[in-house]
Amino acid sequence: MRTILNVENLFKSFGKTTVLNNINFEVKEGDFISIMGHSGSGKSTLLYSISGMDKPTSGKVFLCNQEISNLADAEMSELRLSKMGFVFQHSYLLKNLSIKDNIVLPGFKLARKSRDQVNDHADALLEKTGITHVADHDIKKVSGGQLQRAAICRALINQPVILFGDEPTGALNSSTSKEVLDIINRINNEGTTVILVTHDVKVAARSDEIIYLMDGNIEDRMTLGKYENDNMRTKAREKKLYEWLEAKGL
Amino acid sequence: MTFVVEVFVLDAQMNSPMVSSTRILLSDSDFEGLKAQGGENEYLIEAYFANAKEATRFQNDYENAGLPQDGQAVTYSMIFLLSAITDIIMAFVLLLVSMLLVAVSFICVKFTIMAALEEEITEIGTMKAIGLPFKDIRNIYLLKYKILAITGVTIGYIIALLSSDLFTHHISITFGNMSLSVFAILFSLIVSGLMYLVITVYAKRILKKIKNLTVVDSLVKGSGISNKKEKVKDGLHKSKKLSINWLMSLREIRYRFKKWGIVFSVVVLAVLMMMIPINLMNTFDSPEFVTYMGSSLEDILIEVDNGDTIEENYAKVIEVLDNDDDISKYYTYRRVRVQSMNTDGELMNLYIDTGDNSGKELRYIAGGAPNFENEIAISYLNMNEIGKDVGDTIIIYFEGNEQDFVISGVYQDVTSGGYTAKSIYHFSNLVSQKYTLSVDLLDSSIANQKADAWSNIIDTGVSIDPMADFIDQTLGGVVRQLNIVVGLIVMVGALLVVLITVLYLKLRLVKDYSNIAIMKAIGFSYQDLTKQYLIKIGTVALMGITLGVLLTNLLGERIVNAVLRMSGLGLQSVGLIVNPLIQFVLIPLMVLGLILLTTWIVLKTMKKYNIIAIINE
Repeated sequence: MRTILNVENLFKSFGKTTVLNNINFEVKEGDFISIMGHSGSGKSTLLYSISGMDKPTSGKVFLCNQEISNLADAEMSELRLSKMGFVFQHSYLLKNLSIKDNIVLPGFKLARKSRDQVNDHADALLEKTGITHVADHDIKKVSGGQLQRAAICRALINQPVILFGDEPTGALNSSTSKEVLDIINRINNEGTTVILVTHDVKVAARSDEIIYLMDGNIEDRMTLGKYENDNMRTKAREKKLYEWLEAKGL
Repeated sequence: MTFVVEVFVLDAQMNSPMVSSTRILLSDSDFEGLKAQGGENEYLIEAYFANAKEATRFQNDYENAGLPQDGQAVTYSMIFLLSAITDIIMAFVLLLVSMLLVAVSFICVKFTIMAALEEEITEIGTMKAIGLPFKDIRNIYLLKYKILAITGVTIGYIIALLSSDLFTHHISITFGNMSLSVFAILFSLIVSGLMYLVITVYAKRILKKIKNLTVVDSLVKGSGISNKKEKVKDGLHKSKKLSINWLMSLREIRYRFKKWGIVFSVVVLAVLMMMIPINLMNTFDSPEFVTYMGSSLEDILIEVDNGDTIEENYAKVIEVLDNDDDISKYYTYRRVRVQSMNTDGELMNLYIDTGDNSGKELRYIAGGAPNFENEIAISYLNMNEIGKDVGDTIIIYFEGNEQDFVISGVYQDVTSGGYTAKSIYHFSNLVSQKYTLSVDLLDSSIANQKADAWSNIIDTGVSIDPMADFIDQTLGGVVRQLNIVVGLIVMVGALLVVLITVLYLKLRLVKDYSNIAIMKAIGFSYQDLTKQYLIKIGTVALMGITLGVLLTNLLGERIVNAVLRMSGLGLQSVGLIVNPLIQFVLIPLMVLGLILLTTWIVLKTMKKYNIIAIINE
């Protein structure tokens, strides 16, 4: 498997406070990584630094062998558009567009495919995530779960090599959360690399590997292996993870 | 005797070739010295009336009594016309601009307050959450705006008092200085007080929006202060070709035009504010304007004035003109005095310019030039005095005869106090009051040279002016004053456009904060976002400019004519003369360029936005 993301000697400080302290790790194509840690441990800062949303104080981040930490705004935007997908805690869809218009937006912007192809892909994603019936709806008139699915569709419209998620199910109830996680696992199984920040054991238990952050350092890592949609095995993964985290006082 | 010119004195009574007399002020000793060398004495008889209208009756009586009439009768209306036209036009332009500025300043007040509320919506929400009543929250803001309003009104009042000399300079040097009356000071104080009250009430109305804002709206949902439900128009995905930046921008303008109403209205007002005075200036500056003034348009205007030698002078002029090969054509108009009946049934003197071409080159408000000997065209002011209209018959009394004339047309005239008439009937036996000759040269560029050459041949009592000089001497003052004011207005208009663009964009960026963050996160660059704002504001500005230019053409003339009619200058209707380069190219480009440049500069602040902070909010 080729390396998708490579993080080398990453430091991030806000004034005199060091939030990330010499972070090094590598993500292979098709991996599903969860970043966990206490509040203030630097997990979101790490996600934003490795995704180019924020510039690290020092160190290097390579995405598909391209150094991204010092890219100019236009280059970074192009990279974000073509190679990355983002899903946040809230859907952050544009209020003045319908569900489908929100989804096709990055596709139209990238213009790698024709408008018809982008529309067809959007329709396929809408169907895959089960929200075809609300495609032309105002975003204020659909549920939180449907919005989050739409956000996932938008993140996937340009077939990114990596999907970043910051507490993607944080604002959802447990059943909707499960449905959204199922979608993310399916995407991962289809080859998209996924990196999530979460504090939720149920979410982290879906990933192959967990990176545990403590005071800006990678304190530990845990490998769970590929997730299989099996109730018993899922429970076992969650239990194992729970005990691991408990030992760390989380 | 030789004299040294000490200073030029503005003479309200005789400062124009229309009055055809010039005065020189000498010291008593110089005057005595000059008088001792011979020459004729000329007396200036001045009469003041309790009612200015009596002047016409006095003039009629004087003229009919057969008293000496070697000089020109200068009536109040003439003095008023020649000296006040500049100030009337200036007052009109300043009034128009002030009205538009008041409208724009209210828009500014609204958007400044709205922007402040949007920026402090969390604080407002928090104050509501801890139980502060609406009135207390509102008063925090209201007090601030009251202090700002009272400071602004006071500074404005002081500046107005200090700068009144600047605006009344022309009127004081022509009509004399008049100190500010207590009434004027009191009136301006009352107006200032009213201004303060209106601003306070207006601010109160806008601040009422706080009342409807809920804690949930401001702190949880993060919705703006104007929490109107906006309909979402699906269909962006149906577009096949338009680039995404253009697509998003044009869709917003199409479906959410109201959001951009402020920019649109201000651009319309700014264009109107700049274009109407510019067109007015062009009109006064244009050679064609003399045709509105009761004069025809030619290269050289020759006036043979009333006096004992009028016929000799006229004969000499004709001789000179007939022997000059540079002339393409000339027309002669002879002015005679007859009588007609006014609306009160009294006899009034009527001055008729007679000649084969009389009235042919004028612009008519109604009807046209006289084509037959029984026809007469009368000036607008005479029409009011006589109370007859086009097609009516008037009786002309001369040398004990009565003759019917049909009114062929009504024209506007500012010469000779505005009371003139035109006829091709010769009135041969009547004494000539004046001869006017309009001369067209084969080569117009030698008009100055020709006028000088003829002036050297022909004696006093004849004024020979190239048309350009005539226009400059009659309207030059207005044009020069207008030039300065129009320059200032264009600057104010430009500043206004910049100010509103900044204010509006600041408010928009606050409102669009989260949308900007979302777009950045999904792959739009700052360049894309800047392009979108530029397209949106550029499109709105273009629409505003187009409407502004249209309204200038539709309303400009009406507004100007309404004011001219009110001014009593004898002008009833003036077609504004447009300079297409200024109206359709320069001003639109300037307004559009300024808006785009300002937008581009303001949008640079977007780069300071912390997307992560917005996303984490």
